[in-house]
Amino acid sequence: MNRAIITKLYVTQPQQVIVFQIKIPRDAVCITGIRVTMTAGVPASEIPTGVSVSGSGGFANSFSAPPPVNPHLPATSPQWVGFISNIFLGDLRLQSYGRTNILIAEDIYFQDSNIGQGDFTSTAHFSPKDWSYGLMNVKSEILEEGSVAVLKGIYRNRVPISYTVGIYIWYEKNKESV
Amino acid sequence: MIKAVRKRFDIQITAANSSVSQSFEMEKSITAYRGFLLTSNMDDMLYFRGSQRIEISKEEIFPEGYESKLLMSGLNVSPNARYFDLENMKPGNGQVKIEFSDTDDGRTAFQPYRVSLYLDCLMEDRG
Repeated sequence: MNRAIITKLYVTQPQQVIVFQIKIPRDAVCITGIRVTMTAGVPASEIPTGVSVSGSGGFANSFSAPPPVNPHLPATSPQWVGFISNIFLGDLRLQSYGRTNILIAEDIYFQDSNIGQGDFTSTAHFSPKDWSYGLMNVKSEILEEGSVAVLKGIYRNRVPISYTVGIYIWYEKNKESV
Repeated sequence: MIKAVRKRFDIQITAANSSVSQSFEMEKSITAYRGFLLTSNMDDMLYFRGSQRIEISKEEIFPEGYESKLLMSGLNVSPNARYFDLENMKPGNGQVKIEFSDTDDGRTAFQPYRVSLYLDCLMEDRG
């Protein structure tokens, strides 16, 4: 039976580098998958003293402004032709002490701004969104031996914005302990 | 005879940045859980704001903070492939508990919304 553990990284400063460890439960037989998500904002309780961030609703974020539009395209270009650069936030690496070494090296983006590009089903009343056309959020398949007790990770932030990175690790639980 | 059934349970989120906890009781004739799915009447709310902890028969399946978007499926996914695989989990005491949290991340303006949980189950048909 698969179980998940969640690790949240709170990015609050420009050029921030977060070095962290993820403890794998003792009853894990092997790691079966990893998925990384991004959420705008950081809980107020996670903001270090002396760091100033704007926001509302108990959360600090700077994502209220719309993402920048590619200046080389006319502002009126239809959604299925127009192209908007995705905002690159940072890169993540996870490494194990086992034989697999680097498990995952992934770039984190704000969101897929071009999900409707080349899609001619888009109309004035319906435009494709992440939640309407996104595939089921399945994990990346990974197999790591259960003898690994700790994963080490590094995250490098590239933007002056606060946000939260979620790391989901699925592992197979020892059936005797279920 | 064993037949497949899909159960739906709803919870209402009426306030921004709030948490709702609810338990549901399954029939005794349920023999296994095959899959789990989350949907909403306002997908953008669930996608950007939702997270939950889910417990089945007192066993934690999804820990606190598990984002709802990881349990949603888009229109282009085949109906039979939309459910998160629960690997024929035994129903135990038949209780399903959800602790849902709404959290503003700045990308949506809150409006009350409904969260629907779907459970793909196997049921013993005694008829």
